[in-house]
Amino acid sequence: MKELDLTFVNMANEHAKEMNMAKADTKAVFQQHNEEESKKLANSFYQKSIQDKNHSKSQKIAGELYVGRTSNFQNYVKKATLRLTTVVVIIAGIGFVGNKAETLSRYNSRLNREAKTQLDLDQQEAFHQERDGIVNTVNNAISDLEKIDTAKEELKETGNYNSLGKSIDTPHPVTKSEVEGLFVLSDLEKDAIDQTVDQTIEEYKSR
Amino acid sequence: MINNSVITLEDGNTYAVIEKIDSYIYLSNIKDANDFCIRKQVVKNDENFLEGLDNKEEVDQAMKLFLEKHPAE
Repeated sequence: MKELDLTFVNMANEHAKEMNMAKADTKAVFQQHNEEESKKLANSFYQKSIQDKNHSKSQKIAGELYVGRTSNFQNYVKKATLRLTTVVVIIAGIGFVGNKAETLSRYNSRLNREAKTQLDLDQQEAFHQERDGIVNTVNNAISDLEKIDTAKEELKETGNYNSLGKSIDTPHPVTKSEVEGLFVLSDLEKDAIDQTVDQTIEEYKSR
Repeated sequence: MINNSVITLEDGNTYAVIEKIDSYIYLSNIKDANDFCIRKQVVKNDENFLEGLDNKEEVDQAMKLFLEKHPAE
């Protein structure tokens, strides 16, 4: 136990040198990491965390794991937690590419537009507090995508969309930019986004 | 005495437990400040196991839980 404690003192000292990094403004840190570094970070994190068919990550442990309670350990944990928060923000920020990025971009654009016209001043203040800024955007992104996926499932059950997500009754016209773009959203995705926007606006209105 | 606040993983590195949320264990490599990973604790036949997560979606879910508990400033 003594040996481990010394290890943590050394690690805590090393981390102390990096306090600027640990406490850096998240937005600044996010912008510092170029896309290639961020992708490497994300790939490594996912690869190390996901069960691998070829190399098992399963191991028996004696009892339950816990966060150590000595002051040196807690000091180490405090700094490591700050670093992991930054890493997670970076990964989450660049984890959404392609279709997901397109979905979120359209969702946020519509939501902001509806919030301006449909919410009163107090509701708008709450809206901006909870949705503005890169940290809120990242924190909301995963749950926003989940809500949109739920809306997609509900809409699919109506039977109004074909297997490619094209509306049978009222197909949306495709714009020039969509034709030229790489990730074109289907009618189903667009309708699911609109439905989710409406639901979110209603939630803020009801406050 | 068993110290379950650190664990050696299959890569041979020793990781400290820096957070535990539900069954998810958040680990930090004690020799590399940039090396983190997530595992989950499962019980099989009354024995405790530490396993990798099923897929990227589960990792995203675990990251979301972490950010909810440790919102970035």
